[in-house]
Amino acid sequence: MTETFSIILFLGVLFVLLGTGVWVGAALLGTAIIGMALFSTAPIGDAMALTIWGEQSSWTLTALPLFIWMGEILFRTKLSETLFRGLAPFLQRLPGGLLHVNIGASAIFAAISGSSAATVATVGKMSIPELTRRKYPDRMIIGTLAGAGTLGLLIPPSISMIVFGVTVNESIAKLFMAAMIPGVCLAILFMLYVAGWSFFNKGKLPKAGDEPSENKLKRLFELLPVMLLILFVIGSIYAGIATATEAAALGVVGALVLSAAQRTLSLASFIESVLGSVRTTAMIMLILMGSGFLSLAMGYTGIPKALAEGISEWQLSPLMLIFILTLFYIALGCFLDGLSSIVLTMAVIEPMVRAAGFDMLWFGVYLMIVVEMAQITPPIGFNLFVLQGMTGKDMGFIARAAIPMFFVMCAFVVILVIVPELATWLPGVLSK
Amino acid sequence: MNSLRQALDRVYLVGAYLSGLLLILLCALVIWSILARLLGVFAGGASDVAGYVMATSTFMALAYTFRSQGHIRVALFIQKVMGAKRRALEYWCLGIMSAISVYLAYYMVALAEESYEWEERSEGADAMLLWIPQTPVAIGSTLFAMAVVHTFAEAIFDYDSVDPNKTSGEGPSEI
Repeated sequence: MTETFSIILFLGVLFVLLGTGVWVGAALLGTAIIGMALFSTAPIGDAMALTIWGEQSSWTLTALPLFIWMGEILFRTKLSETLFRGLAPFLQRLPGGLLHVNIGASAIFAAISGSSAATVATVGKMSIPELTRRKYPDRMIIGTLAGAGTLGLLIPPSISMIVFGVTVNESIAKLFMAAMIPGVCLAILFMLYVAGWSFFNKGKLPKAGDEPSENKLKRLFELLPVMLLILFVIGSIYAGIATATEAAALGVVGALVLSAAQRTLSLASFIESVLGSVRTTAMIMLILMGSGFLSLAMGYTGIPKALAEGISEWQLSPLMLIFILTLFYIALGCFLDGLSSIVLTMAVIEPMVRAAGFDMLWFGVYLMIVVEMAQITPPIGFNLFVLQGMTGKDMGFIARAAIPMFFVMCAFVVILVIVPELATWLPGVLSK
Repeated sequence: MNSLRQALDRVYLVGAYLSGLLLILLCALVIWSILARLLGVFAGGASDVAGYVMATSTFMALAYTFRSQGHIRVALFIQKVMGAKRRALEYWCLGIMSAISVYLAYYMVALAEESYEWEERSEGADAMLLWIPQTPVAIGSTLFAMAVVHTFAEAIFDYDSVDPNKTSGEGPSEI
């Protein structure tokens, strides 16, 4: 059997298993088993068990279930109300009015939650009915939410970022440092878009300023616990006093305290949050088991090495490479969810990206943005599904509403390529 | 048949509750290691143990997650397939999933057995005997294989109960 035929067979198996709807984790494991049989003489099953055991019991990965749990607890609190009431009086005077609350609240919630679907759901729970009641245009309410929800996976903590860090062996704390400034910049860019839009569409917006402003201070005070939690979790990582895992455990305690203070903590809600977390964790871990073993098998196939060498032979400029990768990820996002896209491609692309000389922290930030861009475009986009469930509008309308945000994110990728320091500066300063 | 299903589903649920307890234990362990550092006490191999606790927690929840349709699959090409064709597709998917989950369980059990025979110890500060954390992981992966084969058997004998055109579970909770 020739090498080429084996590689075609190997990749063919991957596509057939994924395409016919075999669960992603099992599809990756199955492909890896066949890859090992074709390209190596190693004992397959033992290699698989050892790889999975090593990865699944690693200290770095422990941040993942803890951050998921923290998010599950906070999702069951009254945070959506608090955020809306706290931010509305301050943001209503901006051009675009309360639409900015969607973006501001998403950015704040993103700083305590690692999930973009949870961000959309939490912020939207309060802001969709409130903004609709005040006669803001539906298209803008939904569009801003879909876009700003992606901040959930960019602004630390971020589940995808942990998965990326574990997959390519980069420090999660440093990745969290790298993502902060780009996250804030992207939020500002979203706000600039809303302001620009409102300048040209003055007639479509309700008059601003109907939010009672007498209790401004009191309302701001209500935001204090959230701000403290952010300071507690992200601050402790940035200050270098806690590892990502420790910050996550502190975050769980903080979230429980906050939930108790808001009187939303009950035995039932606690059990729900725990069961929800182990379910999400098990889902992610099965994919990680598959991708971990697939990476090993990929190494034997020689595909990643050939790609990395190909890149230097073709003399692609880094800019061209990023352009191609962006198109590739958006296309991939048409049938794979974000997490699977990340772990599946890193098994192949990591050596290539390293060979092309990219900073892996920068690449992690870039990857979060492009994968999220793919997630707000149909046919698969989890933010869109969440919004469909919450508003009852049809998918076409929601997808069209999200398109401007997609272009804002495209613009931000260009900015990130031109000014890579946005991602690389903070980790450099903080880890000194 | 029905009572067997209920009994098995209860077993998976117990696995999920165990997994939850271990998650709480994981959090407590990490907090303990922070406190120990602050107080200047030696925390033992808390970070190694945390990894083992997480692995066990994960594996214990795999079966429950599968039964509540929490694992991700690519739906784009199969969601429009109906009736007999869909049934054939489900058999194909469940067949492959059964084979792979049994394979996984077999080798996770083998891993624990080998560690037991060779008395392998972890490289961390605690030098724990590795078969101790590997045994519950092996049990969890066996539970997972059971849940998959169970669902496959259900699909063969009582397709209506798993028909994706009719039933819709909770679905995966994406991030």
